[in-house]
Amino acid sequence: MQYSHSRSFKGKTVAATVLATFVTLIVMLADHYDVLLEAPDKFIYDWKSSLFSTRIVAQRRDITIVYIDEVSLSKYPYKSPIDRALIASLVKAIDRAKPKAIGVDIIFDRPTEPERDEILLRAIQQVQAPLILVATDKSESGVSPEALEWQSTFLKKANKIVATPIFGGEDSALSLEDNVIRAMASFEVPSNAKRPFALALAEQNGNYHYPKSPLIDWLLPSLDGREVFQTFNVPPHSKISVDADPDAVFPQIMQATFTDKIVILAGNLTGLDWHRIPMTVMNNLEVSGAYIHAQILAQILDGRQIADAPELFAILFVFVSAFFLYLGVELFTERHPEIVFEALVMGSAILFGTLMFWAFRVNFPSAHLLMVWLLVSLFGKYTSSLFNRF
Amino acid sequence: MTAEKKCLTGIIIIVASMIYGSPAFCDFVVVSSHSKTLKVGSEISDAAEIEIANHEQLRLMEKTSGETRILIGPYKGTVGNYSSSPSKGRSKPLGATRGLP
Repeated sequence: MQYSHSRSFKGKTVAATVLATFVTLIVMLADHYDVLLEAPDKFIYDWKSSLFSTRIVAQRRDITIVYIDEVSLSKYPYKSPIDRALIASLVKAIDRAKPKAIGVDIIFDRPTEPERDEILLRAIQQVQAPLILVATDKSESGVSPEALEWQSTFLKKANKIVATPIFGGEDSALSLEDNVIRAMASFEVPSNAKRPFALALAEQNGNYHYPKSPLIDWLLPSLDGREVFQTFNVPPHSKISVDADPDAVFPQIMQATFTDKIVILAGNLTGLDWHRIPMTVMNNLEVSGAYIHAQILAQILDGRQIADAPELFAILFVFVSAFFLYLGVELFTERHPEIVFEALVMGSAILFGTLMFWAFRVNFPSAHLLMVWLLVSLFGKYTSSLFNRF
Repeated sequence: MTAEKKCLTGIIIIVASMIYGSPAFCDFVVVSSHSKTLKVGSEISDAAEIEIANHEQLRLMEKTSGETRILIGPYKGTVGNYSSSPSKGRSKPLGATRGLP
């Protein structure tokens, strides 16, 4: 920024007030119409989540994930769709342990081997614990009408609660989608809509609170390798017969731990239902959809939430940042490079936002600050010469 | 403190230290493994030194609490001394369709 530094302090204060008001108006309008540049916001938010989310001390006692992975299916001739007799056997094994609820995070939208499809349907119908199934819909690209029809028939026969496995999406018109899952699906309780998978499971627990803000409040694993959720992989085994004993696949020592827990059964297969999340910014790894559902479920059960900063606070924050950025550059940059002062003001604002997240789980979007910086830089130059005339 | 109380306190301390110091106090069972040496179902005592090769994963369940842990290689040492660090990213994107690895 190259401003004139010839005006009095009072004149500079007036100029800063006028400019800050103008900038605040533009930033809040941009926020209202979802046209803020969100890339820096996402970048900063991901690092905040990775470093300052709650790290567990002990593993949760209420949620277990059971994965069918590549190794589980190493002796099967195909891995997708996952063998239906295997799923049936696992559902029976989990149900035997009397869990609080079972969630099956696997989509059934095409036929496989008829007798294996049938054995799964029977197992689902006979299960004693509350069972939640998931269904895809036309909002998922690439799903054919035939697949949706087969799914509908199957789920109708299953006669269980059906939820949606879809997560929250991007809102901003200027957002470059990076396919990182940061939000859960918003839910306003319309009577005909399918509930999100985690919510449907939480309802079986009794006490839960679906947050107003869709942002996921992640739990981080302990540094000694302890996982957030008790997690098992189905051990490798020969392709099971349709009448196999459930114990043949899943060891009893693992089954015994399911009692009174919410158990999520899911696939964890390369490239299928794998997603990036904020905590993987450091290593670019992906996690399974079931892990994300479990995180959302834990959040709903705990009643935790990441609140967006109140709008009045955001307006004040934007105004103050714009005011001091302009005034500071006007007052101090005769002796110091402007970029140093700009970095100081913006860095302090970002640090403040990080502290708010860490201490109060309040999210203040950094995109507002970036726009403040750009607008003050842009308009500061012209207002400076404009105000010098008076 | 009476002699009886001193004796009782001593016994409690000895029993507690025996339980706490016992290597069998915190045993783990392997619940999933990429390793050829540590098979699913095998047990590992807290004091045992294990070796996990690069990119291999070992998932263990603590027998007493049922808590599961995931250990990612390369690592050599006891389960208790394991400390996780951000693992390396995935290999380059695969531009082909394949069967089971």
